Amino acid sequence: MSLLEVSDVTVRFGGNLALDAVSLQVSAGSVTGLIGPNGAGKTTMFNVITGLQPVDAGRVALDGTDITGVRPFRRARAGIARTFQRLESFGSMTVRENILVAAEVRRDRDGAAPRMATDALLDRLSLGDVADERTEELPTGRARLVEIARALATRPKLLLLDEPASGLSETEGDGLAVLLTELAQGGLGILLVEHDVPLVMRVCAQIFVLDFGAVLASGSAREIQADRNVQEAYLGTTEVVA
Amino acid sequence: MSFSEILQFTILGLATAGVYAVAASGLVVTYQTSGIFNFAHGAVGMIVAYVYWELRVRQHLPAPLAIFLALFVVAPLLGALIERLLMRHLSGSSVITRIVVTIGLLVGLLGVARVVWSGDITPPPNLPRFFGDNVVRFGGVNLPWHQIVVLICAVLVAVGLRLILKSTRLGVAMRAVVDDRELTGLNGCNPARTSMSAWMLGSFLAGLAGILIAPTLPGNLDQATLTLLVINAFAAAMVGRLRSLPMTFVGAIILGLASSYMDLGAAQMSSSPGWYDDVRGSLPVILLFVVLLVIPQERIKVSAATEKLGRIPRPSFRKGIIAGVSLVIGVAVVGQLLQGADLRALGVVVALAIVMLSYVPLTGYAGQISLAQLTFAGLGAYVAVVVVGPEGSLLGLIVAFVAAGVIGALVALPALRLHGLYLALGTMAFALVVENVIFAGDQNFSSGTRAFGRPSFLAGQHAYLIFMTVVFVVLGLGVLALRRGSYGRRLQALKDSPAASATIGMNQTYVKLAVFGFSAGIAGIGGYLLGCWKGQVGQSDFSLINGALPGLAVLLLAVVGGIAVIAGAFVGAVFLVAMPRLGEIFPSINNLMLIAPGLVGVTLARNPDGAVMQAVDRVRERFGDKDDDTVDGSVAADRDDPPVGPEDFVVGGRTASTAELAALDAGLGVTREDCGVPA
Repeated sequence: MSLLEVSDVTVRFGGNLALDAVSLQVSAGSVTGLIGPNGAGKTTMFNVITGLQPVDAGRVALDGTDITGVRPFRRARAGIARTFQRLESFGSMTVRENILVAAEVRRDRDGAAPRMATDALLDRLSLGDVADERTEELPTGRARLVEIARALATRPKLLLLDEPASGLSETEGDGLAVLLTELAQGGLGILLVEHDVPLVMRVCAQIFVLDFGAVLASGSAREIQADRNVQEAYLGTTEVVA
Repeated sequence: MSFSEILQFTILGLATAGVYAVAASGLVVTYQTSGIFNFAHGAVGMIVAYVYWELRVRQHLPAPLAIFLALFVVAPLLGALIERLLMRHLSGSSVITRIVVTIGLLVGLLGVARVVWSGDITPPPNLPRFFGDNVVRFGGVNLPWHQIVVLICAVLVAVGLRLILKSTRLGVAMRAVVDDRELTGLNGCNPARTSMSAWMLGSFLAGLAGILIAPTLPGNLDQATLTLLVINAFAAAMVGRLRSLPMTFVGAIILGLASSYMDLGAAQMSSSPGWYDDVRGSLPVILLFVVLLVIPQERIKVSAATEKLGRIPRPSFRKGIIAGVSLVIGVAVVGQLLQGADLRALGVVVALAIVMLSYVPLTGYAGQISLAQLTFAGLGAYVAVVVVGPEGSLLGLIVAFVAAGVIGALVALPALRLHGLYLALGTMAFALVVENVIFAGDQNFSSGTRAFGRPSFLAGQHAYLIFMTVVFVVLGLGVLALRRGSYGRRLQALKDSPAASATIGMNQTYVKLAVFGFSAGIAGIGGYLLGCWKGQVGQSDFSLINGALPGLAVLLLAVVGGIAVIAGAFVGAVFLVAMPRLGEIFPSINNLMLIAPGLVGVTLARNPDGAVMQAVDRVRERFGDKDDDTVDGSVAADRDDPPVGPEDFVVGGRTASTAELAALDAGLGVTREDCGVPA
C-alpha cells in the first residue's frame, strides 16, 4: 500500500479542467517526481493533497485512510507537510521563529522539545547564520530552505516540495539532492515538483508527468526519458540529462 | 391595505433604491480602479450636500447653478484632491492601512463639516425637496416630484455609467481586474489619470446621492446620519461583490423595496412591536451582514504577500515591567497636578487605552480587523452593570471580561470566513446593530444615564485613576506574555500566511476564536472601567460614529499610536482624548482639533508602524542602539548570549568578525553575495 494514494481527482476552475481524473501514488521511503510544463496542474495537485483546493471528483488517501474533504490543518496533523512555489514563509518572523512555530504546533500533540528540534533543523539546512533575520529579507533560495525546515518541523510522513531548487546556487542544489535522498532513506515519502530535470532524474525513484491536467506518463527516470510523448510534450530531447 | 398603497410604496421604494444605487455605484467605481474601499464615501456625499445647501439655501443661488457648482465643480475637485493627496500613496500598502486611511478621511470630513457648518446649528439645517412638496397624480396615488426626480437621476446614472464603461479608458481599466497599477500602465492606460477620474466620478455620485436623499430623511442634513447612509451603499455594492454594477443596482432595489414595504407594514399596524422597528431601522446593516456571509469568499488564499509586512516589537518582560511601573507613577503624579475636567479626561485616557490595547493582539498580532472593539467595551460595561448592579464591585471587571469575551468569540464564529475588508465590514455591521438595538433598547443606557458605582475603597478620583492604570499595566503585561509565547507566534503566523499556518497543522478556527474572545474581553474591561470612572455612561460613549469619542476614531488612533505596540495603545488614547480637550481649553484652535484626528489618520499611509515605533526608530538612530530584540522580535534574545550585531555571524559558538568571514569565504571560494549577504 502506498503512503499517498490519489485516485481519479478532477478539479474544474470554471470551464477549465485543471486536473482531469488524475491518479498518482507516493511510497514511503522514496522520492516521487511530479513534472510537467507550466500550467499542467502540479501546484493544483499540491493544493488538492493538502486540502487547500476541494476536488470535484476523486479521492485522496493517506496511509489507507480517506482524507478527501478533511480540513487542511487536520491533514497536516495526519502527517502531510509542504512548501509553496510562491513563497509563503512567515515574512515578519525570523527564520528561527518560522521553524519554531511549526515545532510548537507539533508539540501540542507530543512532548518533543520544540527549541531543540528547531536548532537541529537550522543546523541541518545550514540556516544557522541567518537564524535571527527576518525571513522576508532573505534571498528566495534560502527562504525556500526555511520553508523546507518549517515543513520538516511538523515531522511529516509525506513532504510535498514545490520547486525547492529554484533560486538555489549549484552547490546549494547539490546539498538539496543529498538532503532529499537522506530524508527518503529515513522513511519519509517525498513528492517533488521541480523544473530542474537533472535533479529530478537523480533523486526520484518514480516520476509522474502531468500535461494539461492529465497524467501523460509515469515510471522510473529511465522510462520517462525514453517516453516519446514526454519528449514531445515537455523534455524536448533526451540530451537534457546527458 | 389597498392596491394604490402598495403601488405608492413600491414607487417610493424604487426611488430610495435609486439613491442607494447611485451611491453604491460610486463605491464600486473607485474600488475597482484603485482597490480602495472608501469608508468615507458617505462623508463625501454629506459634504457635497452641505455645499449645495450653502449655495442654494444660504446664498440663494438658483437651483440649476447651485447644482452645477456642487456636483460638477466641488464634488469632482474633492474627489481629485482625495486621490492626489491620499489614495495615490496607498498602492502596495496593507489592507489595514487602506481601511484606516479612508476612516481617517471620514473622521476628518466630519470634522470639517462641524467646523464650517457648525454643529451648534441644531436641529440640522433643512435641504428642500426638488419642486417642493408638489405631487403628481399617478394610478390613483400622489407621488412627490422629488421622488420622480430621484428615479430619473438613477436611470440617467445607470445609462451614463454604462456608456462610460463601454467607451472610455476608465471603463477599460475597470473591466480589467486591476491588481497592479504598473501592469495596467504597460497596457497603455495611464493609471494615475484613470484613478483620478474614477475618484472624481465616485465623488460626483456620492454627492448626487447625498443631495437626493437628504430631504427625504427624518434628520435631513444630520451629518452623522448622512455619513452612515453609506452603509446602504455598502450593502448594495456587496450584492454586486464590489464588482458588478448591474448586481449592485439589484442589491439597491432589494434594499429599497424591502425598507419601503416594512414602512408600509408599520403604517398598517396601529403600533408596531419593538422588534419590528428594530429590524426596520437596521435593515441595511442586516442585509450587509447577510450578504457578507452568503457571498462566496475566497478560500484560504495562496499568494505571496506583495505588501511590506509591519513590524511587531517584542520587548522583554523587564522592559515591560519598568515601563508599566513608570506609567503608574507618571499617571499618579500627573493626576495630582490635575483637577476637574482635566483629571476626568486623564481617567478617560486610561480607560480608552485599555480598549485600544484590545486591538494589539487582534489586529496588531493576528491581522484581524475589527471595527467593533468600542462596541465590545459597551457590551462589557452594560452586562457588568446589569449583573453586579450600580453599587460597583471588582467582580464587575470579571463579568465584563467574560461577557464581552464570550460575545466576541460568538461574533467571530460567523466572521471566521471573512478576512480583510470583509471582516471590517462585518464587524461594522455588528457594531451598528448592537448600537441600534441593544444600546438604544435600554432606556437608561440610550440616554447615557446608566449609573455605575465604584467599590468604597476606590471611591476617590485619584485612587481609581491609579487602579485603572494598574489594570492597564497588568493587561498590557498579559498581552506581552502572549506576544512572547508560542501563542503569539501563532497569531503572527496567521497574519503573515494563512495558507502556510494551516499546512503546518494550526487550527485557525480555534486561534481566531480565542484571539477575538481575548481581545473583546480586554475591551469589555475598558468599557466597564470607563463607566465606573464617569459614574454614568451610555450609547453615546460606545457609538461607532456618533458621540465625543466614536469607535471609528478609536481604531484610527490605535493605528496611529501603533496597532502592534502596547505603548501605542496608551499614546493613541492620549491623542484621542487630548485633541478635543485642547480645543475646549484653547477655543482658538478648537476648529483645528476637530479635524486633527482625521489629519493624523490620513498621514498613516507614510508611516504604517505607528507613532511609537517611529519615535523609537528616531531615538535608535540618534544613539546607535542596536538592540534588535524590540525591533525584529527575534527569539535569540531569550538566551543570555552577548548581543550580536547585524554585521557579525556566529561561527562555531563564537562571534566571527566580518574580516574573519571574508577570509573564510575566500577559502571556500564563495562571495558573500552567494550567501545573500550584501558585501
